[in-house]
Amino acid sequence: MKIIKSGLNIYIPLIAVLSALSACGGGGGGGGSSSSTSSFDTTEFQANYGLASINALTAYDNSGTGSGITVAVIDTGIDQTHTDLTGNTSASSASAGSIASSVQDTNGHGTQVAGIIAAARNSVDTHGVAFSSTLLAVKISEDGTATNADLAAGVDFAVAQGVKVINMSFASAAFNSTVATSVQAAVDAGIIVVAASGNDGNSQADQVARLANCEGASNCAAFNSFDAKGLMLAVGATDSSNAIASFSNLAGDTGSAFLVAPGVSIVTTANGGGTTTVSGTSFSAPHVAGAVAIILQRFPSLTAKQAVTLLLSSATDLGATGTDTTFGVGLLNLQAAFSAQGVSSIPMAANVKGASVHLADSKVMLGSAFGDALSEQAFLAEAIILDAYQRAYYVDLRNRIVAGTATLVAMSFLQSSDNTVIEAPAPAGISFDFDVTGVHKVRLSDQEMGFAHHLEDNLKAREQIGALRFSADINRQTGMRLALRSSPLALFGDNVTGAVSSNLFFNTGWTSAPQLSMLGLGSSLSLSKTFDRQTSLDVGFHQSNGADQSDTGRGYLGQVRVSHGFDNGLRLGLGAGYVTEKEAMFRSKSSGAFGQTEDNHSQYYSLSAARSLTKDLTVFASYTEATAQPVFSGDSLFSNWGRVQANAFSAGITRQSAFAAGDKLGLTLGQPLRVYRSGVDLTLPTGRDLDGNISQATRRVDLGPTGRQMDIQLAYRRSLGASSSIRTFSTVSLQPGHDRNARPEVAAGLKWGMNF
Amino acid sequence: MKSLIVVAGLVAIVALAACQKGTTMTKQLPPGVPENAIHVKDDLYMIPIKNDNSGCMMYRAHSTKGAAVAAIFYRASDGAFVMDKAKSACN
Repeated sequence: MKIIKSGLNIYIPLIAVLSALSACGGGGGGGGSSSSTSSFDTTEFQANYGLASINALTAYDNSGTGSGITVAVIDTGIDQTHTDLTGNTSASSASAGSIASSVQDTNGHGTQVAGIIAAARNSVDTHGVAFSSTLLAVKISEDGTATNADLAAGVDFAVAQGVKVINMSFASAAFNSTVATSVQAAVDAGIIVVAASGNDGNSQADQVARLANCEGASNCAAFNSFDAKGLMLAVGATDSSNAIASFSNLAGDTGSAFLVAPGVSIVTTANGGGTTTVSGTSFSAPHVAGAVAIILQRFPSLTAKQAVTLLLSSATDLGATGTDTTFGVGLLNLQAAFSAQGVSSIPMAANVKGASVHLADSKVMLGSAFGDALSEQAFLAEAIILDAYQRAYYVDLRNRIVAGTATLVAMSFLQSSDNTVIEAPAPAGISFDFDVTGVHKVRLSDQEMGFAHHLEDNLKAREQIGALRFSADINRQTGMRLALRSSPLALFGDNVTGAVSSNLFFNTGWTSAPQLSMLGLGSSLSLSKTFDRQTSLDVGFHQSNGADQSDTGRGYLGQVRVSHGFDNGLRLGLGAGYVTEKEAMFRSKSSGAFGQTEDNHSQYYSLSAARSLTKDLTVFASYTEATAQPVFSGDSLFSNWGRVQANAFSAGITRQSAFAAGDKLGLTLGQPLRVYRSGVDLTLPTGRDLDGNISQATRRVDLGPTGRQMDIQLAYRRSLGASSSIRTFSTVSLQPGHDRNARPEVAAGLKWGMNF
Repeated sequence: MKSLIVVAGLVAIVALAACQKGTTMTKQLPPGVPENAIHVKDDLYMIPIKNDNSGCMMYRAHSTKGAAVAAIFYRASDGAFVMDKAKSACN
């Protein structure tokens, strides 16, 4: 994950892949930087294991430094001569209350706390969590103790200086309303107060820290009706194994505002220079204070309360599941805090307060005619989403596109209507058969995350089609065919090229009559009439209600074809088809931010020809033009749809008696339906500013695929005596699915048939 | 002999007086401060918490009038309290 600046000078965290979203909710755990390739994973970083424990590298890798944020350290002062502190200590630092001496630390505690927050990243010793933040030293103690009056005076001074964060690594056994009043003033001013929980080993946090979940008189009457307003954090201590420190006061009834952070054997800046190793919740609190500074700096649109809520909600759960009385909400986790939180949505309006659509609900499932169209649109990678805190993240919306599935010869081979046919005795001119073929289905699935499609091949996907077909010759010129639970491909196809290639090739229907592949299993009715020996008419109707449980393929189609044979051996055919797809177009559908696909209507016009060159040699070809005007509803990133135009074609040659009397050899080349012209305006949210305004960019994009599937098929059929025959084919599909990056598909099949 | 008795009596008085003074030298800890607390100076007390993993006693600072730093202290060989364990008597 990486964060970049947008052209609007705002923060834009970038999620490189959607899988990063899986980190939402605080997963991940501490540590884990040993294998990091981050340039921030330095010896200086590693000096304090606490930085790795809170996953600070993610913040650094995404420009989180705390720059511009001032953190008040109400303590024993700061060693202003320390190399790591001298450059980032505010000139406004001062002593408060009864302390008359300079802010220079003579005890050491304040210097230690300050180093954990903001020790400089200078290749010396160690650096702080927010190494570019500013420290306001507020000295309230010389020897490590402070009166309530001085503690309150220190808070008052920090408030007056306008700091964003106050760190209080003091525990109070004589807490009184004076302190509560000052801390109340701090949170009233919108300052985030971070307090150490204390080192008594008690089941409850120290009284100052315990203010963190006070919400007024209802639960804190004893504390002068203090109301933390969601701006206080109590912090307990963990060790390098993320176990609670034995001395740490526990969350107790402060759990919902209680974090834990490293506080055992912490290496930090020492009074007089260099480093020292210290323990105590005193040193857990500044880890959190530094993290707050980073969040406020990196996500400036967050309110102080949102920053606190973010750190609490993204903590790594430790101990009992959920908030508990030991760890509170868990371990501070900057990696999770930088990840998109909650439900991610695509902003559809010009402001974050406007309409948005959940990212998870937004997807496009492309039919094979569109192939790799949108997956090649780099523009889709420039979109932003908003998380629950309305933070903007780049997301590659190509991950929401499921590319078209290749139409493969092997599928049509397996779905062929004559795989296993039981033919029943019937009067002359009538046939009745049913198909018991076990179909090996190929199905798209929407994986839970990543949205990649995969081929599902499991027992659940295997079905017995059980198609039922009936045909009858009403008279010598008129025939009728009826099918139930059948693919339209199985009942009627092109009556010119089909006659040539019948019982030889597989899959010619995909290329010569592509409209037949728009619908799934259903009921078909076909009527044919021969007007004379040269002219014939076929009318077909198919209706599918989604019996194959496909996401698309529901609707109905009608088609009419007429063919005429000429004396010179040429036979020409013309066809027209009309398809209405339920909530789909060319077997594509979309939802969410891509708009809801409505019922779409498409038209198909085809021309086919076959000519016998010799007694045994025949050539054939077909071309189909398809067109549709997309219909979508709802707010959509797409607008101004142009008419979609697609085509399919095939050509081939067959030879009878090629090797033996009665055999047949054929070669065909075909392209399944492919969109070649389309256009739509794609408007993407590309950034947001601090006022919540969304910047948008619009581009006209072509929905035609960059690849082109071409199928080359060689087939051979030969009789083996009077009662059996074999059919074999081999085929190569180049750029299957009209995906230019797809590897060629090679298939071969052999079918042996016997009549009993 | 009489003078010897007087001297012995004075010695006994002085000794008793010394004993009386000795009892008042054990300073009474303020209310709220545990009996095992160690007075360091002024309002700063060190209260033993427990031994850490290596058996070294940990102390916390305590103030009766307000607050104290929330750091862990260790005892140095000279009796002083230090925050860096490496400088303590345990090391």
